[in-house]
Amino acid sequence: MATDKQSFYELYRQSSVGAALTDALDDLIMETRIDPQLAMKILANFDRAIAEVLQNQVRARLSFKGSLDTYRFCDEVWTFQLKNVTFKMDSGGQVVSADKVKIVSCTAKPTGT
Amino acid sequence: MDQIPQPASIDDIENLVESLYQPNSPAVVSRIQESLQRLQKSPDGWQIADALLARSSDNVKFFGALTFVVKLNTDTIDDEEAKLLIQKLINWLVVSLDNGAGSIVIRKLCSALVTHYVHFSHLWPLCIRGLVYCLDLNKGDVLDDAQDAAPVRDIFPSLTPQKAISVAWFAAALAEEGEKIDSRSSKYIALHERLVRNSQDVATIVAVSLSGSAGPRVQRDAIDALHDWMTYGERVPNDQLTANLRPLLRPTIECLAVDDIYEAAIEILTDSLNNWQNFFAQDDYDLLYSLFDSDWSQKRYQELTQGDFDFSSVKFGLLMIAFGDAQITELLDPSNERAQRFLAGLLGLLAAQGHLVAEDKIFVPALDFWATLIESMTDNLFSEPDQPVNWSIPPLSYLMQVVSHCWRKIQYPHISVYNAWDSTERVGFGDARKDVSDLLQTMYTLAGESLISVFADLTTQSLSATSWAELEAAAFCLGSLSDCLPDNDSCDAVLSKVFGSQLFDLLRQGQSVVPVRTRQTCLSLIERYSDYFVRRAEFLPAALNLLFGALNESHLAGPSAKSIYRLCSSCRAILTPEVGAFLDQYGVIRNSVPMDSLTEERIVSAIASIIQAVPEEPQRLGAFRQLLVVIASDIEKAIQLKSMPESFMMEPNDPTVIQSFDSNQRPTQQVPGHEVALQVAVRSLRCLLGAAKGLQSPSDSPINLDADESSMTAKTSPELEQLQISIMNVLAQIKATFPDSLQVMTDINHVVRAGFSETEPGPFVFPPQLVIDLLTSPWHVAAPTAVNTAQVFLSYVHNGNYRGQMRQVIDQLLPWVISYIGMLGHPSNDPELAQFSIEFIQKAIQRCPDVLSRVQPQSNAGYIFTFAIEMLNGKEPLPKAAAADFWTSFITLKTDDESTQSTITGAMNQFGPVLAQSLIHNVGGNAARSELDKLSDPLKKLVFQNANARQWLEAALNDDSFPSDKVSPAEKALFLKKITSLRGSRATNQVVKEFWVSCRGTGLGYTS
Repeated sequence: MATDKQSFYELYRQSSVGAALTDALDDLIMETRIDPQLAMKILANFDRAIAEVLQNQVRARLSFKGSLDTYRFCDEVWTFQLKNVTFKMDSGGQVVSADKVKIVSCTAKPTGT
Repeated sequence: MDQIPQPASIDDIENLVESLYQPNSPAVVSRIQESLQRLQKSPDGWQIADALLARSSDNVKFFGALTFVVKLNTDTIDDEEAKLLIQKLINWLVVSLDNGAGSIVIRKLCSALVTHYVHFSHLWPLCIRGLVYCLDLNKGDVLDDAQDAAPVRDIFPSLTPQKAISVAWFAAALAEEGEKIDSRSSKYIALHERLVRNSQDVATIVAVSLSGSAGPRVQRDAIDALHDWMTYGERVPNDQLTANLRPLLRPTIECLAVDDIYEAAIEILTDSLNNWQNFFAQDDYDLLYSLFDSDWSQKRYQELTQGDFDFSSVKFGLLMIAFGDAQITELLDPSNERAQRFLAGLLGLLAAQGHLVAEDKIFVPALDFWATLIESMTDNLFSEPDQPVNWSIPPLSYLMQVVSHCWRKIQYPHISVYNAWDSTERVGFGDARKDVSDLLQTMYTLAGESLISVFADLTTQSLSATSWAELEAAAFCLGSLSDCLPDNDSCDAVLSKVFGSQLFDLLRQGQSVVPVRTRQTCLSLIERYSDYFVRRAEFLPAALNLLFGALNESHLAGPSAKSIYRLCSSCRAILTPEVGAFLDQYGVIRNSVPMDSLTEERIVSAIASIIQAVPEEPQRLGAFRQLLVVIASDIEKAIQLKSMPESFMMEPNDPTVIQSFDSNQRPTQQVPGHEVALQVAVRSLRCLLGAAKGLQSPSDSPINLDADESSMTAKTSPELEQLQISIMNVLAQIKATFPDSLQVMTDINHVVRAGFSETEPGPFVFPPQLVIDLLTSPWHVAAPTAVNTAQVFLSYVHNGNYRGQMRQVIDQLLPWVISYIGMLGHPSNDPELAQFSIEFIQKAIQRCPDVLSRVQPQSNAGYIFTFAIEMLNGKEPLPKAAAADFWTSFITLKTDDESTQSTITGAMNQFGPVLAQSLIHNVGGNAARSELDKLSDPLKKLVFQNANARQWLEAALNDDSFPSDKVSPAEKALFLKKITSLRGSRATNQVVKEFWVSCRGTGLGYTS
C-alpha cells in the first residue's frame, strides 16, 4: 500500500508482469550487475509507470454484470463481492461467466497528494 | 578487440575526450569510453579532473567536471579533503563563469557540487547561501565566512545574470537529487533536514529572480528550480518546506502573462494543480479565478476554442482542466456563480473547432475532466438522495450540452479527410470515441432513460435528414448505452422509434445510398439490442433479412454475421419454427457468396443455437443432421483433395479455392491441392466447432440438481448416439488425414471440449468411451493439447452425469498419459506436455486415490514421482507450479481403503526425503521469488501432515548439496524450528521468503 511518502501503490508488483520484473531484478543483483538500490528505484518506477500506463494507455474495455453481494470501504480500499457475473470483452468475443468475483479497488491517486 | 593505449599526458587525455565527439564507429566509441572510464576510476582521477577543467574546450571541461562526480561517488575522502574540494569546485565554477564556458560545463559543475553536498552536507549545510556568497566574492575559499555574511536577500540581487542562473541550476539539481534519495533511510535523514533548511534561501533566490530585474532567462531558470523544489516537497512532505515555498505561488501565477516565461510558469502550475492541490491556499485559487476572468485569459481561451492547438495554447487548456480538477467541489455547487462561469468555459473546450485528435488536442483531456465531474455528481446524488435535482440550472444543465458536443465531435469526417490521417490519428480518433462511450455510460446513472431518448431522437432525425455522419454517431452513442439498460421493456417504446423507423429500409439500399461505416454501426446496433428483439419479435424478420442481405458485401459480412449470431442466440426460442428456412438460407449463401471462415463459423453457430431450442428431439436432431451433412461433405472434400498426388495444382478461380480461403488470403496463382485440402479441413472444423458452441445450452437455462447418470443415459436416444458416432468418425477421419497439422489437431480438441460444459445430452456431449478412443489414438503433433483435454475431461466426468465411470476413464487414460511421460524422458524436453501430464495425474489421484497402486508395471508409479521431483527441481515456472500442486495433493491424500492408504504412506516414506530436499533446495535460493508462495504449499502440508517431515527437512538443510553458503547452521536450525512450530499456517510463507532472501545473500530484501 502507498504511504504518504509514496505517490503510487505497490500492489501491481504482485501482478505477473511485476513478479517477472522482480525475478529479473533478483537475477541481476545475484550476478552483481546492479545493486539493490537500483532495483528499488526500478520497482518504484514500475509502480508509477504501470499505474500511468493502465490509466492512460490501456484502451481495451471490459464490461460486466452481476449481483452485488457484499461491499465495504476500509482504509481507502473498496472491496466488492459479486455473484453470477458475466464479462463481456471489447473485442466482441465470447461472454465469460463466473459464479463469484471479488474486486479490490483503490483510488487512482493515493491520499496525501 | 584491441584496447586503446592508456594516455600518457593530459594532452593525450584531451585528445581522447575530443575524439569521443568525432564521428566514429560504435566499437571505437566504446573503446574510448572504456579507456576514459579507467582513467576516471584511477587514483590519478582527481588530478586529471582538475587539469581538464583548466583546458579551453567545453567538452574537455565537461569531462573534468564529470570525473569529479565519478570520484565523489566511488572514492572515499576525509572531511579535510572534502572541504578543500568544495572550494576547488566553486573556484572552477567562478573561473568557468568568468571565461564564458558553455552551459554544459556550468551545469556539470553544479551537478558535481550537488554530488559533493549529498556526501558531505555537514560541511556546508547552508549550501545555497555559501554558493551565493562565494560567487559574489568570486572565490571559493571564503565559504566558511558565509554564515556570518549578509543574508542571501541582500547579496543575490548583486550577482550577474550568469551567476544567478548558475545558482538556480544548482538549486534545481539539489532538489532533483534530493528527491531520488530515500527519505525513510536513517542514513539520509540529516541530509533531508539540511535540504529543508536550504529551502528558505531557495525561496529567496526564486522570489528575487521573479521580481524581474534580472531578465526573463533568470526568471525562467528560477521557475524551473522552483518546479524541482515543489516536486521534492510533494514527494518528501515537510511543513516548513511548504511554508517556505508557498509565497512563491502568487508571483509565479503573475508570470503567466509574461510571454517569455509563460511556458515555464504554466507547466509548474498545471503540474502542481494535478499533483499537489493542498499546496494551494484559498487566496491562490481566488487569484487563479481572477486570472481566468481576465482579458488575457479570455483571449487565450478564444484562440484555443477557435482551433489554435499550438503547444502553448493547449497548455492553457490543460491548466484550465487541472484547475477544474482541483475545484471539483466548488464546481458542483450551483450557487457558486464564479465556479459555474468557469465550468461553462470547460464545457466550451469540448466544442473547440477542428477534428478530434488529428487537430483538436484538448477534447480528450476535457472529456476526462467531465467524466470525473459526472462521477462526482453521481456520488453526491447518491450520498444525499434528499437534495433536489434541478436539470435546468448548472452544473446539471451543462450535461446535455456535454452530450451534444460529444455527439458532434465523434462524427467521422469526410472519407478524404479520414484517409489523410496517419494511423496514430485514426487510432486516437477511435479511442476518443470509446472514451465518449464510457462517459455516456457514466452519465446514464444520472440521466437514466432520457439519455436513450436523446439518441433515439437524434438517430431518427439524422435518418430523416439523410445526414449519415450524424446518424452513425447517434447509432454509436445509442449502441454504447445498451449495456446500461435494465432487463425489462421500459425503453422498448423509445427503441421502437428507431427500429420501427425507415432505418432498415434505408440500410438495405446499399453502399450507393448509405456509406459503409454508417451501415456497419447501425448493423451492430441490432446486435447490441438483441434482447429488445426477443421482446419485440415483430421487428425480428426485418432485422434478420437485413443482416443476411448484408452478407453479400465484404465490408459488412463480418459485423453482420456477428449480429446474426447474437440475434439468433438471443431469440432462439422464437425462431425455432423457422429453422428449416435458416438451413435453406445457409445453403443458398454458401453456394452464392464466398464467405470468410469466421463469418461462416458464426452463421453455423447462429443456426445451431436455434436448433438447440427446438423442443422435440426428432426435429432437433433432424435439423442438426442437415447441418452436419453440409459440414461433413466439406470434410469429405478435404479428404479427397488430400488423397490427390502431391503435384496436383488448382486454379485460383476454382470454386473450391475461392470458398476455402478468406478474401485477404485468396491466392492469385495456382495453388497446390494439398494446401487447399488443409484450408477446407480447417474451415470445416471451425464450422463444426461453431455448431458445437451454438448447441451449448444458454447460461441461464435451468439445471436439474437431482439428475444422475441413469437419467442422462436414459435421455440418450439411439438417433442421438448415431449422431455422436458420426461426429466422432468425422473427427477421427480428419485426424488421420491431417496428422501433422497443428491447427487441425488443436481444433479437434476444441470440438471435443465444447460438450464438456453441458449437463443435458446433445450431439457434442459424447459418452466417455468415444472421447477416450479419440484421445488415446496417436497424436503426431499437439500431444500437450490432447493431454490438457484429457485433464479437462476428468473434471467433466467428475462434475457431470458420468461420475460413476470415473474409475474406468482413469484406468484407460492414465497409461496413455504415463506413456507420454516415459517418452519425454525429462520434463525440460517438453515443459508443456510435462505440466499437463502431471496436472492430469494430480486430478486422477484426487478422484481415485488407489489408481497409482494399479498402474502396471508398478515401476511406472515410481517413475511418476521421480518425474514430479524433476519438475520441482527444474527452472520452468509453470511445470514447477504444477508439480508443487501435485505434491500438495499427494501429501494430503486420504482414503478409507487401508491397502491404498498403506501404499500412499509407503510412497510418501520413499519419496519424502527427496521431496524435502527438492523443496529445501528451492527455498534455499534455487527458486525464483515469484515461485515461493506456490512452493510453500507442499512444504506446509508436509510439515502439518507427516511425522517424518522435520527429520527429512533437517537432513536436506544440512546436506552438502544445499545451494547456499550464506546461511549458518544456526540460521538453518532456526528456519526449521519456525516452520515446524507454525504447523503449516499461512505465516510459513513469510518465513520461507525471509529464509530465501538470507540464502540468496544480502541485497534481495529490497522488496517484500
